[in-house]
Amino acid sequence: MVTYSGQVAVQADVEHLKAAIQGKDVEGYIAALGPLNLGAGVRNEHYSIEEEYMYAVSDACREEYKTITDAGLIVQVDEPEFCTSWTFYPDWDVDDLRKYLSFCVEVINHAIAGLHEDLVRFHTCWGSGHRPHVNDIQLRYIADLLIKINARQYSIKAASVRHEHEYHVWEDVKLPEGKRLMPGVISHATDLVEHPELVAERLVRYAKLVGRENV
Amino acid sequence: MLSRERSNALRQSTDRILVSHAGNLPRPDYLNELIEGGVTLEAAAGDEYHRRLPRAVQDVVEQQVLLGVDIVNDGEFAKAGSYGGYMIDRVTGYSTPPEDSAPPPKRAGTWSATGENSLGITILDFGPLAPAVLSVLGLPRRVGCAPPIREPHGYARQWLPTPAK
Repeated sequence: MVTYSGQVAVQADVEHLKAAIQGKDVEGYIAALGPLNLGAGVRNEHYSIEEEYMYAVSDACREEYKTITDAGLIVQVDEPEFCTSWTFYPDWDVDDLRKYLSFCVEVINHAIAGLHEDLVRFHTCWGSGHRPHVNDIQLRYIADLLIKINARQYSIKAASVRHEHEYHVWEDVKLPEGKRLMPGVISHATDLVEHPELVAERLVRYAKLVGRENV
Repeated sequence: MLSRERSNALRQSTDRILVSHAGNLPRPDYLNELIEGGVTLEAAAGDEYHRRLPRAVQDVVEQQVLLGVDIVNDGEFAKAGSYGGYMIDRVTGYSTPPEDSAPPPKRAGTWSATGENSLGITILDFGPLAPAVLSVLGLPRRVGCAPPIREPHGYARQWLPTPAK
């Protein structure tokens, strides 16, 4: 049976960050592992069905998230699996993936249920491994599912050469009212330091598509 | 002008784009000296690491403020570079079956309980956490089976909404 046992540890995380930002004109956030990344790759031998298992994993995760948001800090749910699940099931087609991700949206929403949406940032990506990334699922196949997650803000990789062009997805998929997009406009995947004007161009592309106040 | 929809809520700005980042930041030398040559998460669980942590978080927050970051974090120093592996110490319910049970991997790309590492521990079934776990254990890595390249041509037309323009 999966249970959360990290109360003391996450409380310490919260106290350290709160002390550090006190008196400063900034917001604080803490990253916490998402339920898919914690549980989806692990064999379930306790619960009768996989769905029950994943909801238990979500319950455990929520304890960590709630400690963070109860302290007035933003929780960043780290969930690369939302994008990388595709690579774990080579026999699936996109319909299969989308059916699975629809369930994943439910699992994630269960994990953040009851938390103040303003304090929930959802982060996903295709992994930071320095590899060809030719098997990365394209954002256009999953973006409409991503925005069904009940977070205020979506943080997504947007500057690597494999995904930079995907700002075009937001020409077709409308970011819902009140949601914000946090595109990663500085890449870890290159040793070169991007020119500030390139970074600015990346930002402006998003600002034009989803509204500058929503980036 | 910065505005807040509520106290401590995500900010919104209409005159400039706010800055944040995704997480793990470079650790100061006084933390790294406890990790170098050791095992990352194990070192990070030590008393001395925890004693130095509050100052390290204070320093990295100040550095972010100096650089103009609006939504700052703790550098993930408590996680010592393992964005997922840290959770192993914060949940119960996962166990390691006997070495000879050799269950097949749950899915492609998942570490097998046996194989080249011959460890026979199902902590390797942690999927994406497995590399972090192996890092903690100081063990060699092996890339899981790679799926073939798949490009679902034409699929988008089946479900994407018609562009508004």
